[in-house]
Amino acid sequence: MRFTLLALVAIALALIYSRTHWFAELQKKALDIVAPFYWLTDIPREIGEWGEKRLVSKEQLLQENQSLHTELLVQQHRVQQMAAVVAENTRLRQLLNSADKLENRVLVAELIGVAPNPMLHRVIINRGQDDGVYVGQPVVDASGLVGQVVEIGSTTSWVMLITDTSHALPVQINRNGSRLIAEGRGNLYQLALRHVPNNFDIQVGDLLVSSGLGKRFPSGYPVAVVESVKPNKSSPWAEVLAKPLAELNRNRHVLLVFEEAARVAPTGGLTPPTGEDTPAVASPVANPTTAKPSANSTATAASKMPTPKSEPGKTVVSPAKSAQAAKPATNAAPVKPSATTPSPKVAPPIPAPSPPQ
Amino acid sequence: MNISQSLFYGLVFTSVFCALLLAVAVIPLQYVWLRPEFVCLVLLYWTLYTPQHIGVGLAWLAGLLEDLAVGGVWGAHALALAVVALVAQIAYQRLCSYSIWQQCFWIFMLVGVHQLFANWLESLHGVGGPIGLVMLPTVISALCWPLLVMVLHQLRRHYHLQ
Repeated sequence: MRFTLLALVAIALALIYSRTHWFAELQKKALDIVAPFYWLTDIPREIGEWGEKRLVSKEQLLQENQSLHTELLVQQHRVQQMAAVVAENTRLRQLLNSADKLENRVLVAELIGVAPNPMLHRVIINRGQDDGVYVGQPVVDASGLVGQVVEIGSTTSWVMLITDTSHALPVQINRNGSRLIAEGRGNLYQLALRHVPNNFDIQVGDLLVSSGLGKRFPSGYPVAVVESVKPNKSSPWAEVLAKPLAELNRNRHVLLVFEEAARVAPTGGLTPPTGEDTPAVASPVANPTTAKPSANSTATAASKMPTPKSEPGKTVVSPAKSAQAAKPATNAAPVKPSATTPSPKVAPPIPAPSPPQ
Repeated sequence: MNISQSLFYGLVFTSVFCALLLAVAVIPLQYVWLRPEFVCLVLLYWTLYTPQHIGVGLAWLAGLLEDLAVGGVWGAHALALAVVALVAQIAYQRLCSYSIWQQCFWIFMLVGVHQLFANWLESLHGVGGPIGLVMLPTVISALCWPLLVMVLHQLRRHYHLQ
């Protein structure tokens, strides 16, 4: 009798879970309850990492420092060029009257666990509602798109990887801009492209970037590289497989992308920078203290998105810091051009809900 | 509740907690299908050897907690563990009289039943695995059984629990 009742309750739970969204609120609480399990199982690895850090030799550190310095120099060089390119892009976009491009703010998160069910491509990260994370938020790593946040707790959240069988995202071929849908196959090293006609212009090695359609992922993030194209004569569609660029099985740190973002295109009474202006503010990242912003770029700094919580351990990076400085204004709200000191203009992240893709 | 009873429940909860930790611990990708069903094994042990204390209700609760922890379909492991606990409760006299290797075979069957039920409810949500791979942990679990029985027997003897 007791067993029958419990079994029926379990089946009812499973049906409600898989067919409705009634548990959405409860799932948030459930994640808070079970997060300690993942924290605990992560401890041995953390101890190992800590030990590794302590036992590294001075020579190794010096060597690493040296290589990082070199890398930084190279990146700074690229950023300097970026600033000019972004400014130029902004002007060209204005000429074309095209939509404003969005800048993205990111938050570094650490992976603390992986869903034990191999059919469920999900990872758990150490950022949650308290950090401003929202459901549907895109997650990227250093090399590509990782996935999106599907459940949030107060300090942790579940991220669904792009290779999960229930995940699909709109992409476009970087070479020619053709739009496609990349869906997960339950294999960490494979994405399938749907409905690619047999005579479609797609080649092995083509880079697929997120197209931004569907409004969940920002456009332009690298997603995958086409691995095989097999035309199928017995069907109208070719079988196309791609390899995700993000290190889905190896990444430890990921970036949460906040979509609310400052706007690139100038607004209000501000004029776009002329070609002569851009080199002057080309390297604020390289030397942020010496970059004395003009009235225009002050407005940029003032309207820069603040972090929801600026704790020392929680690094918030803006990848396009320098690019922003080259732009006249980054906020839709009119900013006083006469402002001389950057005043933090708080605009909380907008968790704009978008339809599932 | 006297002291030995609270010790007993303390041991049960600690073992289930450890099993849950092992169930969510990160393991390398190539071994991901080989993870034994720790929670199922621990609950089988307690229902077989102390059927007067541990039964369907507790197994159901542990299963629900496992569902929450693994982020799967709620109720899948709850149902599977309740079924297994029911069978174990009915057949404990017969199973406990078997030698450890004969028990292993029965554990193989019971964990198999657990996998079938859990996989059935998980496939409602589209996260059920291919049947060949889903049955792999069953073999590993059966092979882990003697070790688990040895460890838990030792612990019970150490705390003088019947």
